[in-house]
Amino acid sequence: MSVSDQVRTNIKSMLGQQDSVETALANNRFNYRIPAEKLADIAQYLKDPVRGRLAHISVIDLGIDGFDIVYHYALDHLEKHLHLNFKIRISREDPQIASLATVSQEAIWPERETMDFTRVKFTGNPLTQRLWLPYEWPNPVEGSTPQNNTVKTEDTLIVPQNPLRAQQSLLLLGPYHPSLIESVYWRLKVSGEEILDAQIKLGWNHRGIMKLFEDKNYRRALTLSERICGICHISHTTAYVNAVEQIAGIDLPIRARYLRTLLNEFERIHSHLLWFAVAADLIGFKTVFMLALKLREDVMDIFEKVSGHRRSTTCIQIGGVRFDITGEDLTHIERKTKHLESKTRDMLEWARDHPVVRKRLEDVGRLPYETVARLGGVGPTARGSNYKVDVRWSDSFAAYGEDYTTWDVVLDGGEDCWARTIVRLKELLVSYDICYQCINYLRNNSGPYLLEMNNIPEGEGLGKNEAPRGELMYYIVSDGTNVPYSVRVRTPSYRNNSLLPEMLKGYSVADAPIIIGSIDPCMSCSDRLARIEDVRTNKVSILSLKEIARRRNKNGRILSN
Amino acid sequence: MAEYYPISLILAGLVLVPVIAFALSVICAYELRKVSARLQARRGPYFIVPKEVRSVLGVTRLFQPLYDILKLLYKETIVPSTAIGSVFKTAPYVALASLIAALYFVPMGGFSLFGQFEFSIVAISYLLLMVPLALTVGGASSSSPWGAIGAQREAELTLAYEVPQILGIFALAIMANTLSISSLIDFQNQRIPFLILNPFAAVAVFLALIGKLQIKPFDISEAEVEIVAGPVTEYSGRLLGILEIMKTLLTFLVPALFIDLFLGGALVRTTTLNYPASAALFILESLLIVVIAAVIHVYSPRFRVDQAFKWFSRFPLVLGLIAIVWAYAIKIFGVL
Repeated sequence: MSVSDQVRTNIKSMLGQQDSVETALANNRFNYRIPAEKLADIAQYLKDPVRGRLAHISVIDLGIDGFDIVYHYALDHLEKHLHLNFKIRISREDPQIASLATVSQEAIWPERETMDFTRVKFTGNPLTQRLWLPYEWPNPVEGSTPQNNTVKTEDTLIVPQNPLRAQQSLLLLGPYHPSLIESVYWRLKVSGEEILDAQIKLGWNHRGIMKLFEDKNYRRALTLSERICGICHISHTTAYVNAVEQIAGIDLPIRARYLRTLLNEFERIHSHLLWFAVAADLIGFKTVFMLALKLREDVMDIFEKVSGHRRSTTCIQIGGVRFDITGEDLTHIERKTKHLESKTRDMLEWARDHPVVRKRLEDVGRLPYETVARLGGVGPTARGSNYKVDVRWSDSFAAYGEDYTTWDVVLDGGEDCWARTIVRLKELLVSYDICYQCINYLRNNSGPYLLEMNNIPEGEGLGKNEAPRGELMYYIVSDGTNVPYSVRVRTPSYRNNSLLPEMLKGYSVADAPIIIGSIDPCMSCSDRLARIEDVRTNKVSILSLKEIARRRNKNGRILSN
Repeated sequence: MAEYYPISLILAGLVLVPVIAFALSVICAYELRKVSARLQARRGPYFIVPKEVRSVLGVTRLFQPLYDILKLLYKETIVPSTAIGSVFKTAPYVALASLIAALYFVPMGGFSLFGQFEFSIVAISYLLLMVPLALTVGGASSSSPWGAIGAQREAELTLAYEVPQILGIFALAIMANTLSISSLIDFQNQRIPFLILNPFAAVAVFLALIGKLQIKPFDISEAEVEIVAGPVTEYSGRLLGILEIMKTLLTFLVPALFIDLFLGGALVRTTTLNYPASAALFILESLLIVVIAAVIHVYSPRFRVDQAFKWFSRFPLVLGLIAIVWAYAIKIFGVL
């Protein structure tokens, strides 16, 4: 009896005869509409005996009908392609539902996100502060009272402390700090250099992209999805088209599959090389930073050669790929890939042999298997703790399946920063191997690579992709028009960022940059107003850009009130 | 009693020595930047200068470190309102003043203002110790958490490298039976350089001096990705410029000290002491030491402060102790 049959039978018996509404979607995905009171039992069942992952919680605003809350359970690491979506309808007048945080901690972040951006309230969520919006913004559910004043008083108490008498102090890392490439705000409670507690605040690059999706047609939404992340644009478009093609029931031509795989692997190569450079810089190894970035230029050259752009290539289209890669280009790509491979092997040797590198990375940022499984880590971060989640393997799309290419998931049981480094470097070697296989196919075969796009029917699709940082998920609801009704994005950094506070505790401030860097955080991905703070009076005012412009004096300085 | 130069020469030297040393240290700092940049596949400081001044400067922009400092001296100095102002403002000047004072005791190519002073080694050790002390005090008084952490790291690192350095230098003092740096140079020129006579001390002091220079494995107190800029986080404008001058001087002073202690002061003798040739050799050797430092800088990532402390107490400290034993052994068995 397969996992899917067993789980579905058990859920059916838990739901009882009258509530059991199951819809089978394409690609081994199942939808359930359940009453709210049954949710906790099902979640407990899926968490403990089954060990499924709560990938995300989406909320779909249905207007006058209320809200649809969708719990996406990913069981694809147990059986290929298996996903269960549980839908609960709540009314618009009283948008309340019990929090799942006590059952599975993966729910905390999605619930906070939902509470930040919609009126839905999850009762019993332990995280009481804003995660995306500024701390002082009023709560849309509770009215206009600021959500909590405790944060502000804590700030004023701790920062100007007398250093001679301080036992613990609050170290504010960010939003702009040399170790953070993108803006994120860390509040580290430290004693000396040891980190006792860590708290993350996102939202510094919030652009409201998920809302923008709702008034762009499917083809324009594609280029919008590309703009979510500057580094992994192909991953985002691939996940987006995976979802759309699932709704439309498009069967991809084989050549398009190989082209997509090739492009996705080059994305992974350049992203991992970039990560390697940044990680080297974070432990103070400027030389490797320079050399790895120089190597990454080769991948950029490949992108420029095949598409005309270094970044944001818009090469993935619904129903295929925008252009074909043939002849001389393939030879060029193969030559560059061989060069990259030999250099990567060199880098692996350097990293292994260098005594100081190992000292800085080994036993730092320990992330046990149990923590990853409990909090739902994804990507190389999870694979560095021996947790086998890889969308390419479990929910294979394009040419990643066994019919097309052969490769292995890289795992390492080290559970520390060193293990994550090794996983990424070995993944590079696996990527080169996949690239060779794709180039081989593309050279010896021909065929169509782009299908005509038809109308998108009513339905819903859950598209996934293994981005360089981990599992990327798009959930698209279509109402039959040419504009998606709702698009929900769950990025890999979203999951991995929630692991960071656990990883930082107990290590020194010197280790904080490399621990944060070891998950390869992409803050713009997780984020989706100007705030002025007067240090002397601790008065905070929220201004629009127009107001700031008006209040500039002759010297161009912003006046405080 | 030591014999000193006439008073007029000493007065002239008080002004000229820092100026000449600063000019040389700018070249050393340029070289450190350029060599490490080329090894990292970068361009380094801009190479070509405008045509009009090429007759004066040549085609290379050797003085890029100087331009950087000049730029800082023009800029506005901001003192944080929460800092302890007097300490914060004084610390850079104290560091620079003690470094310039140390310069007077270090012989350069056979010329030394106060090198004949009987206790010049002790004086140099104390004056060089003032630099991290001033940085620590300045960073701690800046009221920035990064400054405080940087100051703590600076103090810990100083404790780590100072002991092997003192052990190594005093091993030489034991062998030559003197505390004057000029006498040490004379001792080496009469026999053989200490680099061969006591290699343990040479390695211990060299590693300690790398720590003092604060280049790559030991740039812990100013680790930019971890703690912004450590003690100098809140410094700006002229105060930062003073600290930069101090740092630039250090890139010359450290090789100079090493040459004096272990390479016989780079003296060239024909019949008498040949001053121009000695000076040329001295500059050449200090540039060579800077290249070695640049290679170390390029090859290593940064230690954590506890790792650096352990490393210093494992290798240089042990070497320093061996150097002392070696010095006594040579003295007792009367090899010299």
